[in-house]
Amino acid sequence: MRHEIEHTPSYSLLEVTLDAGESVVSDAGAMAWMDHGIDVKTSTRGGVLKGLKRALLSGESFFQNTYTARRPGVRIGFAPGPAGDIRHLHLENQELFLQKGAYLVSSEGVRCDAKFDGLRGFFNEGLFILRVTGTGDLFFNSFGDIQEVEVDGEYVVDNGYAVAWEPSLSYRLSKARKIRSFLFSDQILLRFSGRGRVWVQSRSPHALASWVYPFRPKRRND
Amino acid sequence: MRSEIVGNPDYGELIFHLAPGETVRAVSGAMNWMSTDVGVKARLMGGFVRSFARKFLGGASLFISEFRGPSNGGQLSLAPTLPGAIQSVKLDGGTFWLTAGSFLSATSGIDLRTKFYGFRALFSGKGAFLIQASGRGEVWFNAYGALIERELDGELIVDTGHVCAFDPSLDYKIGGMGGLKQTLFSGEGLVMKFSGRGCIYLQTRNLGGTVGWLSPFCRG
Amino acid sequence: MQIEILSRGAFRSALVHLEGSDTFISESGAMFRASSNVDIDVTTRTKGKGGLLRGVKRLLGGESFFMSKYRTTDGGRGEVGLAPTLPGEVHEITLDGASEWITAGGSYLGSGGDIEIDTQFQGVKGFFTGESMFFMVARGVGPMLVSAFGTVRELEVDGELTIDTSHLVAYEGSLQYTVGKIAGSWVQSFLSGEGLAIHFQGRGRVYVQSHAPSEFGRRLGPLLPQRG
Repeated sequence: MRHEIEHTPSYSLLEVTLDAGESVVSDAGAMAWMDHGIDVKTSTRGGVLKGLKRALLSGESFFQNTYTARRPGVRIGFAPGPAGDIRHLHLENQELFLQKGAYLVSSEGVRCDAKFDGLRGFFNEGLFILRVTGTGDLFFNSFGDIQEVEVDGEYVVDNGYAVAWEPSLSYRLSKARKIRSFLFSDQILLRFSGRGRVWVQSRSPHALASWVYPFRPKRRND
Repeated sequence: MRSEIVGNPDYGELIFHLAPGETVRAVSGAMNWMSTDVGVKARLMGGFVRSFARKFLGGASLFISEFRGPSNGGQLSLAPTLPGAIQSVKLDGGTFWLTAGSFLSATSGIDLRTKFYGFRALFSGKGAFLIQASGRGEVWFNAYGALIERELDGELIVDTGHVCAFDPSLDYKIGGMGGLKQTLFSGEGLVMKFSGRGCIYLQTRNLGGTVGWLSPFCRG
Repeated sequence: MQIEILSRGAFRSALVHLEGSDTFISESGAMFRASSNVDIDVTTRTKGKGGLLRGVKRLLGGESFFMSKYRTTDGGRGEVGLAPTLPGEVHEITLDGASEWITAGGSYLGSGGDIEIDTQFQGVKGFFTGESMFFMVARGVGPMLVSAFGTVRELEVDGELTIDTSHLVAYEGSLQYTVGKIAGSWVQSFLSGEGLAIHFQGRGRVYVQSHAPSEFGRRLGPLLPQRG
C-alpha cells in the first residue's frame, strides 16, 4: 500500500493506493472518493459486542468498512471529520493510545480496542481512549494542527487536546477547575511523566461541543 | 469591477471593488464588511425548489443578496459559512453545476437556477438540490476544506458531501455504495458515481463527517 | 515574558513563556498544554476587582465564568499554551495605556497580568444576531491576545466603515459606532440574511475575522444531537 497525505496541515486528506487483493480499514463515513474496482465490506470489527463497546466507550463509529482492491493501483481518498491534520505511524508490534475521534484508517494487522480510564469516584467522568496494537500502518487525525511534544520528565496536557501518546509515558488525571459554561463539568488534565512522545492538537472537540451547545436543536417533550 | 481572492487555501475571502452602479450577487449572509454606502437587496434564486423546503436543503441558503456600488465606488468582502478555498470559473454561454453550499457569488450576466436532486438525496440530509449556473460572466464557489480540481477521464465514486462543483459534460448517478445494507450501514451515505470526461471539483471536508465526529462529544 | 504564536496552516495557538514573577491570565479552559511548573490560580478576579457579578457578566459575554491566572511555581521558566475554540488565527495586540481595546463575541483569549479586564453591556443592540450583548474591555499596559474564526484583518477607520456584527473581533475605544440594518429595510435585511451591521465612525483600528462564528454554529448545530 502506498499512501500520501495531502493538503496538510489545515484540511489534510489521505490517499492510499492499493495492490490487487490488498485491504485497508476505516470507520464508516471516512471515505471521500474512490476509483471503481474496490469491494467494500461493512462489519462491526471483532463481532457485535466488541463493536458496541468500542462505540459506546470511545465514540467511534459503530461500523467499520474494509476496502479490498480488485485490481492493482486503485486509489481511495479518506477525509477526517474535523479541520486539521493527519499523521501516519508504522507500528511494529507496538502500542499507542489514541483519543476518541482521532482514528482514521489502518491496515489489517492493526487492532483497536476501547479503554476507559476513570477519574476516582466519578463514573462517566474520565478518559475514553483507543488502545491501538499490532503491526501495520495507522493513520490518525487531529482537530487543529499537531504539535509533537517530546516529554522527558513531566508535562501537562488538557484531555481534549491530547491526540495520541506512547505507552512509555505514564499519566495522572487531575481535574482543573475550568468551567467553560455552567452546563458542563470540569475539564480533565493529563499529567504525563516519563519519556515518550505526546501528540498535542491545538483545538479541542470538548470545547467545540461546549460552544455549539446553544445551536443544537432542543429536545421536544411530546 | 475588480475582484480578488485572499486567504486561500485555508480561509478564502472574496473582495470586490465596485464601480458606481455596478452590481454583483452573492449567497445571503456572506458579507463580512463593506463600504458604508454599498446598496443591498434580497433576491430569491430561481428554479423548482422553494424556500419552504429548507428542511431538505441541508441549511444552505436559496436567498441571494445583490450588492450595488455607491456613487463614489465601494468595497465589499464576502466569505462562505464553512472555511476553505475559493475559486472561480468564467462562463461564456456554457453551464456549470454547483452543490448547495458551494455557490458563493456571481456577476450579473449569470443565471442561477436550483435543480432537484432526486428523492434519495433527502435521506442523506445533505441537501437535495444542485445549482445550475449559466450565461456569460464569472461564478465564484467555495470548498469546505481544500479544493481539488480533478480532470476525470473514466469513473470516480465520490461521497456526495465531498462534491463541490462539476462540468456538465460529466454523467453521474446517485446511489448507495452497494446494496441497501451498504447504504444504511456503511455510513457513507450517498455517493455520486461520475463517468465521462470533464472537470470535477472536490473538497477535502464534508459537513456530515464533521457532525459524525463531534456528535459523541455532545452531551446534555 | 514572551509570547510565541504557533502557526501552522489554518491554526494558530499561543505559547506564553513565563519567567520569574510574570503572570498571565486567560479565560479558564483556554489552557491546552503547560510545563509542569506552572501554577494555575482559578479566580473570578482580574487585577484586584472580581466577584460573582463579573463572572456572570463574562458568561453572558460568551466568555468563561472563571479566569485562570498563570505563574511559575519556582520562579523559573515555564510555558503555558492557550488555544481558541474555533479554527483560526491568534493575534497579539499591544496595549500602550493610552487607548483601551474592546473585544467582542468570545474573541478575548488572554492578557498580561497588568491589564485590567472588564465587561461592558452593549444593550439590546446585539439581540437580533445572537451575538453576545457584552463586550470585554481591556485597559492598561501589556500584551493582549485575541482569537478569530478564520483570518484576522486590521482595518483603519478614517471616516466610516460597516461590518457585519458577527465578523467583529476587537476595536479601539476611540471609535464611535451605531448598530443598524444592512439592507434598505428591515424586511430586506432579514430576507437577505445579512443581519445586523456595526457602522463605525471616527478614527481608530478595528480587527475583523474572515468567517462568522454564529453562522457556522447555525449550520452545524441543527445537525447535532438534540439537547435536553
